Amino acid sequence: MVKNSNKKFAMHPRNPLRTAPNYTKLAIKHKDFRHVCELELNGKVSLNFRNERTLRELTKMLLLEYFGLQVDFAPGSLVPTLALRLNYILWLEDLLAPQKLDAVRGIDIGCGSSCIYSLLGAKKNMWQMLALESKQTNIEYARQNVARNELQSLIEVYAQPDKQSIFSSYFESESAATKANFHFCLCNPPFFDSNAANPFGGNTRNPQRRPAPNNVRTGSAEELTCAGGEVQFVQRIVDESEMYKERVLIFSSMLGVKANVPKIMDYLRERKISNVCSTEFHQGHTTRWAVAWSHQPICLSD
Amino acid sequence: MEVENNNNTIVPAVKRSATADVEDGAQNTKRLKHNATDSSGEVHVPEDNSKQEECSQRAPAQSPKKRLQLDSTNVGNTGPDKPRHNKNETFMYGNYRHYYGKRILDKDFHDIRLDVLATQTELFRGKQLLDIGCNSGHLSIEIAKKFGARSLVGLDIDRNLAHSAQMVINALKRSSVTPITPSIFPYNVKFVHGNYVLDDDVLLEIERPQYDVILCLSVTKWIHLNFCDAGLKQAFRRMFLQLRRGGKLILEPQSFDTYKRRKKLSESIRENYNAIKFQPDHFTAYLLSPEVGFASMELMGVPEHCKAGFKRPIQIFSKV
Repeated sequence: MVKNSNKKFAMHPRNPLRTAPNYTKLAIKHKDFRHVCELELNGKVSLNFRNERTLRELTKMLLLEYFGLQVDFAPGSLVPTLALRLNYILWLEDLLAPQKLDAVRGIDIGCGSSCIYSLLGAKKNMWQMLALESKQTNIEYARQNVARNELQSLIEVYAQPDKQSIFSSYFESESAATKANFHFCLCNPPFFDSNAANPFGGNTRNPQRRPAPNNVRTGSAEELTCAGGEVQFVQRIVDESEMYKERVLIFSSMLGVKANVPKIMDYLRERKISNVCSTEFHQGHTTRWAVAWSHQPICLSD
Repeated sequence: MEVENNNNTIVPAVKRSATADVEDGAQNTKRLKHNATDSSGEVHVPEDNSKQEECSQRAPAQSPKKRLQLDSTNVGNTGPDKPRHNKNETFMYGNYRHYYGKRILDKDFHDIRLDVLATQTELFRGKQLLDIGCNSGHLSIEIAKKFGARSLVGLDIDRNLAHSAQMVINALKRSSVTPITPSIFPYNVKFVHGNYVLDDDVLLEIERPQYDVILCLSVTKWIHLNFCDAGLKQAFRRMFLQLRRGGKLILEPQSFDTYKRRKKLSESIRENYNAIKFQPDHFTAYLLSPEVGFASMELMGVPEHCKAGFKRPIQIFSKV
């Protein structure tokens, strides 16, 4: 069991979820959340994380409690885990800090129905966000989430006409030409390869010693998998970043599989992109990774 | 097993300077003022049940152990200076140490209430039980063992008591010759530390039926004094919600006149005492009202052959 005090595997120092929430107090306060909790004999509340409805109500409650955000998720869509999303946002804050920017503008690649990264960035940091999304139902949910939280002035949800391109649809569109540049882009790609024999099979050499995570998988096949998985997806971001070197200051993406990190680092090296850095996100028993690179002469190492 | 001295010393009345702390209903007692320096909740005078000699000048204090039928008698006077255990300790929750005596659980342990409970063993056999306020677990363990319960969970607000009860079970498991079967004694008994009263009534919304029988013996006074009318009412509602259909609550409430001597335990207990409006003689009506929802009450019995103060009626409330 990973201890919070073990700094190597703790969340980002500024992550409000670094100390576990008092679920009993939160269950008393939030009715919908209460009804996915279980009451123990000693009066404390406990959660069965292996249930999709529980995870959804938990994330909704934490977003409301910690950020005042009211978020709705399309049924069957990916339920984001707040701790991980926050770790990514906080890492970006650290990368941007030396720039001492007044107004930060960022791109959320594939914002999903929750639009969670844009909502967090806008609400927490007043970042101006461009949320790119190609799936129609997700676009509608994302726009409703933005409106419900009155963040229309900070978040634009752009309906991406095709799934093959990352930025080009937006940057080549008429209105984009006059728009300002962006300071970062972020992405939570589909981790798994739809072409693989067993996309969710995992890489472990010893299943006995690596138990299943204490949660349940959520999200549609479209959100979780794509042709070539996250490696190809992030490679496309790298390729397009070379077309738009001055439009985005820091490019970044999350990676879900440890073995894919060196693959992306190699890919960047082959393209002679040397201004790179990477990081790990720890939350509970789960670790994710992220890579950032820039074509401009800024310092990226943390 | 030899009864330990401490338990059964008869201290001659003439040497006692502290005053009697008498349970209600005892005859031939005068209410004496508490010694001002005595801060303990219970003044202990160990005494053997069967050899009671009523003293006309002061009645000996009756500790809950008087309910125990101890088969051996006086083991001698160890002198006036022997420190009384539990002295200078405040038991705000009725969480007495040595409530069931200092005996370890053995075949001689017999709480008088077992006689009443034994009149309807079918209530317990093969059933899942909860004992609220189990103290050191002696009685809970006897019930689980003697009446063949399917399982028993004991809850106590005192962490040390719940822990020592669990230690007793762990010792029984270690010394047991039977193979580990989850539904067989002692593997089907566990003890938990916690407060039965919840932080907020709204949590009752997520309470679920999980027990066939709930025992709440001589606990209502303590819930009442520490958590007020609201806490006790919530506890009653929780008991109903935790019972399955056809489930039973076995309740042994203390009467209100026994509360008064406890008001000195703490400032908040005194305030709570003064604020009480929900009287014990209204408990039955409340439990049968729609706010709780029990369908019927029957009197199970009243223990006999014990001090009058412990002749508390034991009631059964049934959930349809």
